[in-house]
Amino acid sequence: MRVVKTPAQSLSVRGLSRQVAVALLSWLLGSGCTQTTAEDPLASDPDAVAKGQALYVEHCSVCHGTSGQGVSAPSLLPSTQSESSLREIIAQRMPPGSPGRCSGSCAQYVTAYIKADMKAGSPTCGERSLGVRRLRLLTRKEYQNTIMDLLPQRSGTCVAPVFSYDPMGKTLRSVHVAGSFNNWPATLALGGWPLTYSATEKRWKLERVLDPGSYSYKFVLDEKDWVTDPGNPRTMPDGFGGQNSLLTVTCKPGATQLDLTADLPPDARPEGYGFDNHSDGRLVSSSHLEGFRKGAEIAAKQITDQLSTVLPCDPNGGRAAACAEQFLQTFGLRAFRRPLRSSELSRYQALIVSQKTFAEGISAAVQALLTSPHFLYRSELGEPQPDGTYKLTAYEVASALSYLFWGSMPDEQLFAAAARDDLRTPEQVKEQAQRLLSSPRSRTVLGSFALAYLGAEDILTANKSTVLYPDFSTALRSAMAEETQRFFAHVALDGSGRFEELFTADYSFVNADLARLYGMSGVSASTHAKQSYGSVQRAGWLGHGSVLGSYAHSDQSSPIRRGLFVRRQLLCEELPPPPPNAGGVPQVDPKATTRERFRQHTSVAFCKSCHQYIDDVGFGFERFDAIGKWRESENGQPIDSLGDLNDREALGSLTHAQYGSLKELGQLLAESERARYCFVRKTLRYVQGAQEDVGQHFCSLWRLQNRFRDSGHRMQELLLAITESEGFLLRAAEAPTQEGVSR
Amino acid sequence: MSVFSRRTLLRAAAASALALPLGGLDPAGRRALAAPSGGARRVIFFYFPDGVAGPSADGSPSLWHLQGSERSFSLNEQLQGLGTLKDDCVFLTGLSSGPTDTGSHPGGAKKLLTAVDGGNGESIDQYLAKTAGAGALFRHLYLGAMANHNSASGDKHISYPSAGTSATPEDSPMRAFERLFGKTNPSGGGSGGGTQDTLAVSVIDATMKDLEELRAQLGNVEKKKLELHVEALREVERRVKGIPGMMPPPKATCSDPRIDTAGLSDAVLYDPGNFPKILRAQLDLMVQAMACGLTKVGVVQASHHTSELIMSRFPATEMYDPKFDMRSHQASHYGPSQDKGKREFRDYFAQRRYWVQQFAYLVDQLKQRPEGDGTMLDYSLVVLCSEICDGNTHSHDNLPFIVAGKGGGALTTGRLLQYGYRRHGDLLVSIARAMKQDIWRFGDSSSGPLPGFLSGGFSLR
Repeated sequence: MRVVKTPAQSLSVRGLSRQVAVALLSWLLGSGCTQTTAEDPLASDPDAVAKGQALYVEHCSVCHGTSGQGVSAPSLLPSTQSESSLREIIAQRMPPGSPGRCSGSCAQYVTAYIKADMKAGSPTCGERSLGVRRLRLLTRKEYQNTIMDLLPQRSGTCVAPVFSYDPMGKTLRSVHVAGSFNNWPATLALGGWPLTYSATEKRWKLERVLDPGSYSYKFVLDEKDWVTDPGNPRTMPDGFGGQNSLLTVTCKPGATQLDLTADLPPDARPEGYGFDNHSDGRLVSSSHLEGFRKGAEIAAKQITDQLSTVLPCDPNGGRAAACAEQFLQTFGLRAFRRPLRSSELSRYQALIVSQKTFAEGISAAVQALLTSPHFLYRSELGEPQPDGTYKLTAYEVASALSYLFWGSMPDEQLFAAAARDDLRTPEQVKEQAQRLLSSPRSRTVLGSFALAYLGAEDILTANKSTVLYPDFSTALRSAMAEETQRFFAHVALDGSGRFEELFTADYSFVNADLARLYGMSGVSASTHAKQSYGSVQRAGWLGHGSVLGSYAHSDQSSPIRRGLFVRRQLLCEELPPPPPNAGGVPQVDPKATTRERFRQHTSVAFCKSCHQYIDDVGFGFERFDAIGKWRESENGQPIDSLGDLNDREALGSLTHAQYGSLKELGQLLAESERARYCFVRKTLRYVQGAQEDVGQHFCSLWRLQNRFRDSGHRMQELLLAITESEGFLLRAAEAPTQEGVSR
Repeated sequence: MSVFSRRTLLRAAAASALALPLGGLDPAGRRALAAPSGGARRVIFFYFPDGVAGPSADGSPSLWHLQGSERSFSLNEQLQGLGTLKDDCVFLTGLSSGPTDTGSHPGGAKKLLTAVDGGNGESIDQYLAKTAGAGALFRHLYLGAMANHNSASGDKHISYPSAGTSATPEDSPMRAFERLFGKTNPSGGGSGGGTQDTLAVSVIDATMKDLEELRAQLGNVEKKKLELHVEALREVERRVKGIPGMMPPPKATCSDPRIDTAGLSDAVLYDPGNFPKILRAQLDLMVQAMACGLTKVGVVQASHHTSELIMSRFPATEMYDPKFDMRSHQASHYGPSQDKGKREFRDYFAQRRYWVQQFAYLVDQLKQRPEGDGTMLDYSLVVLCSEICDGNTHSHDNLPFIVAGKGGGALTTGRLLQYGYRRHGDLLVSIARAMKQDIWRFGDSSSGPLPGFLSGGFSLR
């Protein structure tokens, strides 16, 4: 316990000149003028200095320099301030633009680092840094996916029915399918749909897209023997004393899916967070609830419309209560992502049987289940452990995995693993994580992650000049977003899997529209395919229209936005906000280049102190216009696209790294420790659904960074490392206090 | 005792909130019968982005703040759009949101309705929603025009139900209309306690039970999250269940809302050419919802701070120029001097005039509708606000607040109140008091109601 002395006297600073006041204030603080009592967590924390360094780099180095040498703010070394006075100054006055950002433990750690002459050794990190137990509201996307998965025969994306016949070793010349969908042709010549023999599977197969509806059919062997489908237990009388097989199609591939989120508000994101899954930033309003009610109503109708196929039992003849219970044990488990408790079971059962008809009862139960908090929130509350932590239940782990990799509820295998309690050890979790990651379903989620990582979703809504870019269509916007999504999933899953490939890839995924914009020849398909950039001056995802177009204005490129994009999105660096009277975007000058117009930023010393970190990076993108098209000249003037990724590893380090093309910039970022660290941070942020805190999560980040490096910066390995970590299975009791770094 | 559906109830609420129009009477003439009393029945905050042409960097005087004395002053060019509504307004100078984050748009937006230094607090509209507005079918109505554009959220939104976490406005007039008035046949009777309603009620009861059980397992932070969820569900419950015992209402003014949302589908909501139409529809919806007694607390947010809204695409306005994109934030940084020879300033000035005209439209709509012995405006407060003062200097002092409406006798309008320096939290306290909430502080910076703002004779009782 450290007690700071109370002031001997109080002084009024009013009337004194500002400079004198500030000097006096420093002196007063230095002599312990403020009455505070503070716990000292540092005594027991061997990593205090290392944490202090991380926080210092984050919040202080831009002005004081990475080694405290002083840049736009005074040098810190040698530090003559006492520890307590330094701590007070940091907590109360730093950073100057928004004091209070680094109080409490943050100020103490940074002080420890400065007092250690700014030399941090390798951390030991024996401590746990756990997230808190939480409820995580489903995002709009998760809500949509989950309900689609809950509905019968719609597993996320609609799959066409496959007819399949096992000849049991018998040799056949032909197998065709005849049914109500093709007017029962007896032969192939009359229009029978032929199955083809797969030697590997030893079966005859046919995949066929059908409109939703119920159909009866038979297989016809060698155009003479009519048989029911032995693989399909559902049959109905054929009117001739025999049976037909019965097929119910509920969806059509490619057809518009049910939109269950039309009335849901957008997922709110705290400033700087970037992803749609912040667990505390999205509060449920009555608008949300109206939207959820509507979604539940649509789902209930889908289910009652095909009740006989959904129900595992027959409710007639006095079996309503038993059948209701059976339904709840299956559907209820999937909706709540855990078995219903007996009290819940009996309440929902009563709800079903108290309605006028059984169908209405099911409708009520489905609507109640789907508007229940147990459905709307993913539970990460866990069960209390003897050491005061909370361990996620097997079912909670199943959901944590499925939402992380698939953006939806657990599948049968995960539920089965949870039921067996096979999700307790890191090895068991990793095995499931690998399975989910290797499924095609993970691609959509990875793609959305990438777009949010870059902050490039804006391309879908950004307004562009209709005069300058008349061809900038909705289709082109979507094509740009899809390019980035496919590209990231490809690099992570099919390519080298290495982080650096995101920046250095000499290819992308384009369709004809994008290829035309990029100046790539030989692409005519309307769907995206992997194409070499060839001679086109692009590299990795920095060359994507989604990035270049999102970080631009409507009618001009924006070196500021693009520079800030590199600093904030790719390097996780925070710059102070622009000062009052900063001046805005210089007017478009018909004779000048953008670089010339922004010259003031870097020619006036006051502006330069910050803008050197922004504009000098952004100028390197100048060969690309506001929608990401290559340009040789601007307003008839040649373009100078020399950029400088200065202070790459830390703001205030006074380093320079010049580059002349996006390829070179990509190379610089691919090799940047800071860019890799940023990737680890933002990935952990995404997994946790909460803003990471470099002080509080220091050890988690440090361990993950090591794992990432040891894997050769393979992104799959990072994701698996997170799922294997203690923090994936354990939670701390309660949110930490407001102390420390706040956003 | 009977239970009415939402639509029936809607008409009932209307009947209880407003006197019926007698037809043919001039509202202005009727107002002379008696001065409004009883305090403000409703409040609307109208927000526009990126400040005004206030005191400039080169020291020229403000082109926004009015000159003169309390009763003797005239409108300037920027505020001209108010016209004769000048006498329905109180103009305020000298209100500051304080020293934190000065020079910052987000810093100003966070403080605007919270009056908390640093911005980490509940906003006044949300406070009023759960106090004065608690019994309404919609405790709070937050409508936006392109306010969610480019995934805007966080500090781009001004309404905070919980410290540090903002609410999300509804940008779609079509969806807002549907939520408020029902999808089809807005004037027709409801389903009258039919199957769907009974079922909906039992569904809500089941959900409420689950919420209560879950809440018991939580720590304080998560508990708070679920408390907001429960409050939201209670609100939905009121809309579905109705209020037992209410008499069948006669036809009221709100039973046939005619709001032009034609063509405003999601696909075109973020096309700047549609902005004027969207904002107009949202203003109409707000007035209609208030006229129907559906809500007492409303916020209309036009775009958001540091706005990329291309205002030069607003058809039939003085800003219109299809060949040149002038964005709000771009124009706001017009430079050190207010030179109309310069395109940025000329457009910025015109943009601000546009916002004033929209505010005037909102005020006028309330004035067109009869209520009691006067008009709806007599019982309303409408607050015009932006997050900063001058768009170029980004000052958090002398914020551009204008309050319209007599607030049920709480306010005497047609005045210019010049405060040397007061924290704007004092205005928020005054507004809460006009809404009959007995508080003396709001946020962490107010020192009490603004002196001379509320009418001398106004009392909370």
